[in-house]
Amino acid sequence: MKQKILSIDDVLEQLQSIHPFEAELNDDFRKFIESKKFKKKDHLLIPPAICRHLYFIKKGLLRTYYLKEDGTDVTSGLYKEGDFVVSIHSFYSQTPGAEYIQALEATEVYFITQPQLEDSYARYPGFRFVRLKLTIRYLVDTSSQMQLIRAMSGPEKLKALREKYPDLLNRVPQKYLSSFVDLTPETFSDLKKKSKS
Amino acid sequence: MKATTYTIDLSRVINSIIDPNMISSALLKEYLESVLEHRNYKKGEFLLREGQICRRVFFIESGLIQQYTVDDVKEQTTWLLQENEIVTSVKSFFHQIPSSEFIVALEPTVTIAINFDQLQTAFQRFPEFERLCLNKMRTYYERLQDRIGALRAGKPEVNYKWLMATSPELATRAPLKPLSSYLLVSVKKLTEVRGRKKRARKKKNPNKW
Repeated sequence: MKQKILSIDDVLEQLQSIHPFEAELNDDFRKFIESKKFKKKDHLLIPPAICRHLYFIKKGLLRTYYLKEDGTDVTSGLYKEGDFVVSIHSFYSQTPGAEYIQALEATEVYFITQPQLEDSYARYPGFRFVRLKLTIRYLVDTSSQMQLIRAMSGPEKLKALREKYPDLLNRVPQKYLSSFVDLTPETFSDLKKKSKS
Repeated sequence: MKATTYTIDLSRVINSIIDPNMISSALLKEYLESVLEHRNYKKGEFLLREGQICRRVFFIESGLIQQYTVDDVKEQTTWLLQENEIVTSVKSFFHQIPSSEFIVALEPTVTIAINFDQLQTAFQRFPEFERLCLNKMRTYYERLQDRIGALRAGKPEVNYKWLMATSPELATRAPLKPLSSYLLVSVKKLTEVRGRKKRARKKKNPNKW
């Protein structure tokens, strides 16, 4: 299936739909939004680098992950076209965090820098609600993720993945999906087979 | 439960929820005073049941709260929260949809609550309030991430370590059953650990699992 490549208008429309803000800011964004391409497996963020950009995915797939003490890698987030992506702790505190951001496919992003965003919040009060609502969105998603890891059985986890990320189930390598929902790759693969039959 | 609106110890709420240095607006104080309400719960009383829409964010003035889901028959504790902490069913509250969780008082509990519309109004009218709540949300987000990290480790001792780093009082204050499901250990194992910790504290080696 051919993916549509999202335009700056799509970014602005997305932002405006989160919460309407001043039209003048649209013009500013057109001036300073930049775009960048990453190859599959490229990193957008490697600690201890600080996350200085808010990314918007035009095309492709990103994941955030961190490393456990024993060196195993844990997928903490999965993002596709139309999603906004930051490593939230590092981005908001502007200090190094533990999270990596990596492309799982050839990926194109738009990005805004942290100072540009701060400047926009200062000059356009309406835009602060976008920030608030994006933060709430992160909070709700993370809280659902905690519920999923804490309280769901294997089959329930798979069902929740299907509901939340219907198109990612066949797109994201199984080892990342299984680690995202905190199941072993073997259990995950068994569950997937069982649910098909 | 009867909601009573009476003079609220606003200075306490402001000091705990809000950084007093940042309150620039007397109007914000006035607004909060007019909308915040005390809600008191007896031990065992529910603040929210599964299927209900969570209408409020609660600031816990005193007491102990358990937040949990029920899988078939078993309670799965997601949070244990005490004085000066905030509790709400996040998804249900922000989307105003039915909740999949229960919130119950484990001790007699006094809360100060604000409802969804009042919070929206405060965000709209007072930019400084929006800023403060944003910071609260980020703190809460980081707590969530820490807890997810501990849960992912899949080891009771990691959950216990996390508890001791964040709210060590709960190790002795919380009832066994909710605490064991919070830390993902059996009641039997937790009883053993508690006993061993007590003895270890006397020997000044409290961190041994």
